[in-house]
Amino acid sequence: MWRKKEISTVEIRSFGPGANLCFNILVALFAISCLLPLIFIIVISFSSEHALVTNGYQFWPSQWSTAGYEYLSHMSGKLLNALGVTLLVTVLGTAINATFTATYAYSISRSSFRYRRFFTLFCLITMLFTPGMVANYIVMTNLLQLKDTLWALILPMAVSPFNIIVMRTFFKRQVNESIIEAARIDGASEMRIFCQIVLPLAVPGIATISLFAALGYWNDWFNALLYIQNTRLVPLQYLLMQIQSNIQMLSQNATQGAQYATGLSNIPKEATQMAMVVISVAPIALSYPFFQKYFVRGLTIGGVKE
Amino acid sequence: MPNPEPEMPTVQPETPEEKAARKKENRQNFWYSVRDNTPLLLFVIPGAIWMIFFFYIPVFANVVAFKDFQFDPNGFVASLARSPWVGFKNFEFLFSSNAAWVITRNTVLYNLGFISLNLIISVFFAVVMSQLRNRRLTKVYQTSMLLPYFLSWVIISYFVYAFLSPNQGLLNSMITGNGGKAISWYNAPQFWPFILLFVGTWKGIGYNSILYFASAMSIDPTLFEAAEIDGANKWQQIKNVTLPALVPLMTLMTILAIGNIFRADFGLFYQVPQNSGSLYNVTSVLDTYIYNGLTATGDIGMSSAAALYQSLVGFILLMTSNFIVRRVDPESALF
Amino acid sequence: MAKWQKVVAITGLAAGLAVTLSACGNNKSSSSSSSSKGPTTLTMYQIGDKPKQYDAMIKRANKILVKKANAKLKITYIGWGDYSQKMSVIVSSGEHYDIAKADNYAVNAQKGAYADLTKLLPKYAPEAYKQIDSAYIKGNKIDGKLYAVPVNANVYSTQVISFNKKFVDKYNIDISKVNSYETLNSALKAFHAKDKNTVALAAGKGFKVESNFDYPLGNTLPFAVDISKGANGKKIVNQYDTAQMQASLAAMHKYYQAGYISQDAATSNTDYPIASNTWFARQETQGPFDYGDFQLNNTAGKKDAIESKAITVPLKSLSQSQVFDWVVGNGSEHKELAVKVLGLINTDKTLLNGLVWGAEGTDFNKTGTDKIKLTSKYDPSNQMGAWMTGNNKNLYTTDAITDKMIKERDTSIKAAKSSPLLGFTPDTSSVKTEITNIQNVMNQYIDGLNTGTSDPKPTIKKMDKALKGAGYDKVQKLLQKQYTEFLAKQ
Repeated sequence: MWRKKEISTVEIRSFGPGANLCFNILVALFAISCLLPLIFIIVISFSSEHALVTNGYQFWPSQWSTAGYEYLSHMSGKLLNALGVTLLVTVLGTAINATFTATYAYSISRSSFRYRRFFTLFCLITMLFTPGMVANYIVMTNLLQLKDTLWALILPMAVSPFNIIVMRTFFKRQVNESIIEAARIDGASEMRIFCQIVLPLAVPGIATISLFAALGYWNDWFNALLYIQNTRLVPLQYLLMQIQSNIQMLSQNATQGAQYATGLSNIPKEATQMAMVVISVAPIALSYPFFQKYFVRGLTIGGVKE
Repeated sequence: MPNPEPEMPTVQPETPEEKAARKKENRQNFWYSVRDNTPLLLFVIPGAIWMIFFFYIPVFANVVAFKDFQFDPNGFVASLARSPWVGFKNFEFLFSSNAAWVITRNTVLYNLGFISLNLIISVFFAVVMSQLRNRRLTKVYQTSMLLPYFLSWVIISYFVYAFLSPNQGLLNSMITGNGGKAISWYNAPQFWPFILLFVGTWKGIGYNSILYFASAMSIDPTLFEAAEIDGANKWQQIKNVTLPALVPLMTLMTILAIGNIFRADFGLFYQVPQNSGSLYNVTSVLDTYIYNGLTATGDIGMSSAAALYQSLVGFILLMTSNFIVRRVDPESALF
Repeated sequence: MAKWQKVVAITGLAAGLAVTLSACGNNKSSSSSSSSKGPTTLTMYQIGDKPKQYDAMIKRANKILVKKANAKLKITYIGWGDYSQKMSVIVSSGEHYDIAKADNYAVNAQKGAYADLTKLLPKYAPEAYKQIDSAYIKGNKIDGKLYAVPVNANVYSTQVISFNKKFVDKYNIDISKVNSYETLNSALKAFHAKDKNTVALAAGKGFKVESNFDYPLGNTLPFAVDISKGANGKKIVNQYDTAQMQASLAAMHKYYQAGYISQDAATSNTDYPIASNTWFARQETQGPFDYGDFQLNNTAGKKDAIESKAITVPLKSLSQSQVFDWVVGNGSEHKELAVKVLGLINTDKTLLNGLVWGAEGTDFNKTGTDKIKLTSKYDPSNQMGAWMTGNNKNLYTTDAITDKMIKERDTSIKAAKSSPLLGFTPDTSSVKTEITNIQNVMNQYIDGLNTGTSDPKPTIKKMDKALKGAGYDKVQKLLQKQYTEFLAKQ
């Protein structure tokens, strides 16, 4: 009894060994269930088309094949281009989004900022309604004249009002106003205070909103649908989405006659689609573990009470 | 509005002279204060400009919800001006048919289901994970649990289909293998509330549990020590130390979820059941109803009406729940 | 309170700014295109994937267009699945375009999205106007006005059941008596007995059992006019309440239960490629320019791969007349020119055949005045599809199509019956709510019924009840009233 007690004071939070094993198995089972879809997609992408047609989706296909990826290598130029666009938009967009969101949130979190009530309200109101697709389209194409440019993919998601409100709370709780006051009295400029004092304290929060922004940019296809006509500017997810919706549209109109059938024959089949999914999911899935440290810390925004 | 600190001076009756003098002073002060606040103002400006372009200007197009939209060759603004007002006619389809009750019920009930399931299961996983001995293993669990969160619904729907496909699905092969009768899953509405709740919760659990996990890990270890010394067993420690520490986050997440109670995850309810008509009674929610009804007519008046309705109800619910929480426990409120 | 006033003031200001700026934006974008004295460039939206040889194709076309109309075309392709959504945004936003494939033609035309071509078409493209079958013109008229330049192609359509000849021969199956879904039974049964792994009757999500009907609002809504022999064609009925539809659906349900139809048909997006052997029988639509089974065999990639049996009478239907319509944007600055160019695409044989067949000498060689032989380089995905370009009568034909076939084609067009619905475009703006609700009810039942998954008798009963609740009677009365008035005017 005594020895056991000693151990548990070292690892004060932990279960006893028996319970630890039980819960480990339970959590591991659930974790595996979460990994399954990815494995499943990878398996399908390596299944032969024949096996897919006769047996449907299976975890262990009767016949393996790399045809899906071979087909993709034929369109590798298009694919690489799309991947490049997605990467560029994600990196640039995330940087812009994190900067704008953090600076805005920081300003309205400062009680010495005279207009903070106004700008808080200004931001809150934007969460009340959605402006609607057509109006956004007009602003982008007529007012800003940005149709068919990379900016059309970046700007619509450049600020997230909801994250501003969350970050505002985060700054209020993480950054002590008295430190800032002290720095001000020492003659530091606002810019310096923000960069040297506030930012280091806010890294977890910023990492988290960045991850969400990055995820948003990476998975976005809708803005491309609206604003992009130049095939060189098509991002990866839109390429995937186009294939998907073309298949649905064409197979549902297949009885319209031979004309539609010719359209169908150009579309890659299931193994190829899954291969594309693998390619589009892999970068996010692989880079996420590196973010995880910050992510877990950053997610405590609003949860941690000092 | 969202401002805990008292800012306004105490309200005292002032004479007209005082008022005039203050106004004058205010006007002068305005420029001084702008100068004083310049750096912080500059910080706000990019975001504010964005909001003007991507919200305050286009949001006015929402008036189309109250109009019978007609085209004009001179562009959208002219079209709007030309379209006659129709009052709330565009909103009628959300309330008028028999289906309206079913979809509203489905949307709210499913969301309530998700809110409670998410709360219970993710807090459970978070607490368990915070108590596991091997930290590295815990990290691996978390990484894999978050994966479904990154996958799109289309992919999840393929995955679900692999289990439920009537001819080749894994479940049906298992059933027939044991001598049972194959079930046509996509035509059997009785199973779908469970399937949807399960799939929806499963996808979000990784994200939610990490949220609570992070919060649980930030609890001061001395609290556990103290509990241990007082002779509390594991369960009592969890009940009296861990859970109370998680309450603020639980409240916050619930407020946010309640604000979205009139919005359903479109992908979950459209892609996962393969938009199967015979399941509509249990899978139809506001978002899919709007989509299915309006893709054919493509009427922008009606679609903005639907969006307006959802945002408005959501906002009211969010504000109300936040208000109530602020009354009970100001620290837990969102703003 | 002061804060609120400030917010209101500033948002008001922003709105004012928005209006002025968007007005500026409009002017700027529209004036830029017509500033130069050279050929005017017309923008055109087309559905589908961009042809692989687009650059060469458009260069050939523009050479002719510059010479004959001092115009150039710039075609933007929008994918099959995206076209509807993107076009509706473009049209609603008032963006200027000159020519586009019509999307949701009747509704958008009624709301004023397209230019009125009633006078422009006969004036600026008289030749093309004369060549288009009158059923097309009639079918595209809305309240007596024409907004489209329809592509003259399969003006009538017959619904057929096509059989995979390979299986028919292999198992020696008798298909001679097939003339409806009910009479399909013995053939399907014989096939299923021999081959259980291949789907006997191909059907999936969106599959629609066709009978002798024409539809004032499209075939996904219940409203229909019976056009079979003996029916008077004056009544708007619920197609699912008619004996002929119920008989077909009952037959489908029987086939589903017997396992002739894929068990997940109601939700499946599986395509059964014509060239593959994954199916035995399927429903197809055929028109005069398919030359019987010639086009299907062509898609299948060999002769005598397919044999079809008609299940409806040939009909110049409303939907067939609007299969592919070119429209001119109401905001276009070059309406006359756009019509002229559309006229040329329909009538100038070099231009049209260049768009469809490719370049003479590389993709095809001429063997007679209107006869060509395709070379090995020819690939349909390099150019535009025939049915979505211009008048198919002006297309060169390959050697495989004999003069006899062309003659048969022309007599069959003359013989085909016209739908009484041609030219009838109901005004449904007062019942938008009801139609949306009805659409939702139909979505719930349509796939189950048409793929045979659900038992028609109880399902239709349930559906009719739901339709009633959604406002079916109101819409039916309105349609009937407008239709009777329309018929009286004829």
